Amino acid sequence: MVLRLLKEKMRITPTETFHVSMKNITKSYDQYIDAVSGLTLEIRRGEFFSLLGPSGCGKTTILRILAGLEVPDKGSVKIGDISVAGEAWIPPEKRGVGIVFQDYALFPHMTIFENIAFGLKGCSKKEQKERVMEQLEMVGIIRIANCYPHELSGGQQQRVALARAIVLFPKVMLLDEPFSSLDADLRLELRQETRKILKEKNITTILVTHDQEEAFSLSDRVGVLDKGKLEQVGTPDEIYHKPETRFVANFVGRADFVRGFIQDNVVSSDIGIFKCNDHNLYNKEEVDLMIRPDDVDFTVNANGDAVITESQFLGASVIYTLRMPGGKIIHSMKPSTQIKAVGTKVRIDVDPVHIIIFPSTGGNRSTICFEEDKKNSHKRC
Amino acid sequence: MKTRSTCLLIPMAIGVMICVSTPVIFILYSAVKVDVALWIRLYETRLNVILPNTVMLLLSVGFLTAILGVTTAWIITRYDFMGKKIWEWAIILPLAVPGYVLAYAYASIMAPGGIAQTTWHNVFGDMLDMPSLYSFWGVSIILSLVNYPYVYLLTRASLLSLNAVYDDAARVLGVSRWRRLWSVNIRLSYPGIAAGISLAMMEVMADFGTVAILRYPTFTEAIYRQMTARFDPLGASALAIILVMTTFLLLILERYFRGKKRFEQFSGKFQIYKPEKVSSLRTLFFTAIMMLIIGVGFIAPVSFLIKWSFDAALNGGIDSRLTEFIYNTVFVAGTGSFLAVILAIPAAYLHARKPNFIHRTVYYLSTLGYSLPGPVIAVGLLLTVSIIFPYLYGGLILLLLAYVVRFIPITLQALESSILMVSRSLEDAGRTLGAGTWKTIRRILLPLIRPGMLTGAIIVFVDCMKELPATLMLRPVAFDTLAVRVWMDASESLWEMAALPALLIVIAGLIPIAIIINRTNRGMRDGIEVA
Repeated sequence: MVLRLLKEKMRITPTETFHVSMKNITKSYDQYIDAVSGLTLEIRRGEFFSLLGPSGCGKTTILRILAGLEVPDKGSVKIGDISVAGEAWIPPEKRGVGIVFQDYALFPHMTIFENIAFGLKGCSKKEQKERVMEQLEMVGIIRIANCYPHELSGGQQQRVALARAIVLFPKVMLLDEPFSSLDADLRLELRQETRKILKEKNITTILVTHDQEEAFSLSDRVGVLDKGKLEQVGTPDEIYHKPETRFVANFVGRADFVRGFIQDNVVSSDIGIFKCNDHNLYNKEEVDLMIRPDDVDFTVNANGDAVITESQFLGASVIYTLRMPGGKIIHSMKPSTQIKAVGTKVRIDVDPVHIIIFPSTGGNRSTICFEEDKKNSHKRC
Repeated sequence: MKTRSTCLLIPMAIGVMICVSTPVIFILYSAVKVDVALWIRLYETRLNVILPNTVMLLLSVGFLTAILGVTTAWIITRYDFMGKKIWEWAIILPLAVPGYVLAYAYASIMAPGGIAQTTWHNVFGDMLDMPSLYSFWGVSIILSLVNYPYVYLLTRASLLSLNAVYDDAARVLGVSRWRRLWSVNIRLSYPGIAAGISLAMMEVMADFGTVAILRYPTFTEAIYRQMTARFDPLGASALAIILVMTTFLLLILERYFRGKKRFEQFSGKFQIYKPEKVSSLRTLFFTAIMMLIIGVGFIAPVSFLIKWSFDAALNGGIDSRLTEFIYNTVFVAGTGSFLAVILAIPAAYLHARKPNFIHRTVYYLSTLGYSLPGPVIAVGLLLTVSIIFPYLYGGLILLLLAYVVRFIPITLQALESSILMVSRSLEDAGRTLGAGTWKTIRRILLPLIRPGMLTGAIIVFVDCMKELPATLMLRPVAFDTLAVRVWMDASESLWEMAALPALLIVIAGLIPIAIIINRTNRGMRDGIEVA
């Protein structure tokens, strides 16, 4: 009875404030020690949040724990004010959490109508029909109500899976790589469409993906996972430009690490000399400067000390591999309007706003505050 | 912190496991009580005969099935000739005939005054006696004819999965055709051949009807006599223990070879064998071989069964209670297969979806019955009821329980493989859409695995129909099934009367054959399509 009331409350009152919080979640399997270990994460009401990470990092396990399909070994999960795992246990069928699975999981023996109506209980046939049709209309595929899933295209299946979850008014929606099996064009279209629908309904959404572009383009915030641990949580911009660990730096995009030397808050390196405002840095220490290809520019210069050794054409842009005087390699991304030939001598020009320093001994980010030391910029070490 | 409903499946699975493994436990329990004096008496009265008999039979059937199975598989996989498509599947038809039906058919054909005797006399006169079917070779040939299809099927699969590059390599190295056959093909596919032979030998160990009709004492027959004629449960369980251990050993061998199935073939390019087109002379030769084997193993005996059935119908030789026998057979086989499917669901589900140590153990203990010959199960169940549930004695429940013990491994396997084909996310989706465990199983899983359940049920139905020894020992008084009638009429030389029941069993036996052919042809269906 209590659960029933609870369910009604969770599903039917759409104005309730709501957020998801996980505390110290740990989960191991027979074959997988620490699929998730000590994970703590809070997600705001109505937020579009992505869990980004390589396969096997535990992101799907977190999703399954949120849905109630796995029981965490340790830790607790709260949805709104209600504890659903840890202190209490609420089974998946009573959580009011919707999921779109990677393979969509449409019931192959039921029509699209029956699939969407599957979870609708306690309402009249007429009401059922209205609600199902309303959903199909929303996702723009009203004609297919009487088809079976195998008669549908991948994009249509994905839309039905979304409709089937939304029809129950979930407060939390979980998306398990739902775009990964679609063609590139369709993927872009469906991503934005899905985001729009979920945002309109103010549904807290958690997307699991290994595609950083997808996570960045859709999310308000992104959590990067590796080996069952959260490496960093932040806005897409923060994740890309201010990575806290080397793993994040490498996982979300191409990054070069250049060795430098720090003295009196000035870092000298092959790519220039920069001032650093952070006074906590140790003096006389070797460091690694992380820079992304989009912040590395160059100009063709017969007297330049760097040379193009390789160019990779990506369509709208080209990635050049540049060899610097010491033999070190750095990458530069430029629009493909004018393509430079391999072997061209160039002069490297770095925009330092996004340079990040990591201790050379490994470990996490040290600082990010930089500006070019104009006085000494002609000197290189 | 798990949900209550999932937990309910575990006690259910364990309950079934206990029911199913009780007979073995009771046999072990009584065999332990057998003292040295009894072992000596058993040796002097029974073992001294049945031990060499059984070993000889195993060896000869192993040898004959190997010859028949490998030759046919070789011809089918390596040569292309007219009619090959038909022979490829017709060659397994003898699998539809239970050993005791074939034994009865030939006993009748070769009976004094029968067609074979008359022909023999016309040809040889009195110079040469016709070889007797009631002999070591008679039994060996009958059992080889019904069991060689196992060797054929597994060898065929092995030969088809062989990479032709090895044969080509040997050819380039100048190795002759015959040496290539042995040193490349046979040696590379030996795991399949060995698994097939082990399977055939297991069937020989479990066979009761053939050896009983042909009066060739082996373990099963001795257990049956010890139990029914002498009512000596201790002696019977002592013999049963030896039998169980031997079959178990064969089962392990079969699993071992099947596990090895293929030598590590490097994962490079897979070159399939292109069957060699042959001349018309050779086509004739191959066709003759196939015709001979199928003719002797299937067409001739079945034709005679048909003829005798007609004769019986014409001269009133059909048992007036035939409809009753059919009804009894369908009733027990139907109920037995239904129970075997229903009772297999919990263990199959747990093993497929949550394969932890406990679930695996429950699953494997539930499949023990597969290695138990019918008479052993019967003895085990009789011991069990005589000790704990005496009021079950002579009731139908005991017979149905025997069918479940013997055949639940088949349904377990059929259900498990069907469940594994249903994507797990479908059940997860059901849960997150508000359906509890039971509703999810009922509305999503069961409809999707229905084809697998049905196949399992049909195979078990036919197996129950063919089952003889346990039915004979456990049936209620005067409760006759078709199999029982064949055996009893044949034992009393009422040849014509046994024909129609035997024919009905063979016809039913064709259904699983059709399933095997269908499945091998298409490969297992991936996913379930909705009509």
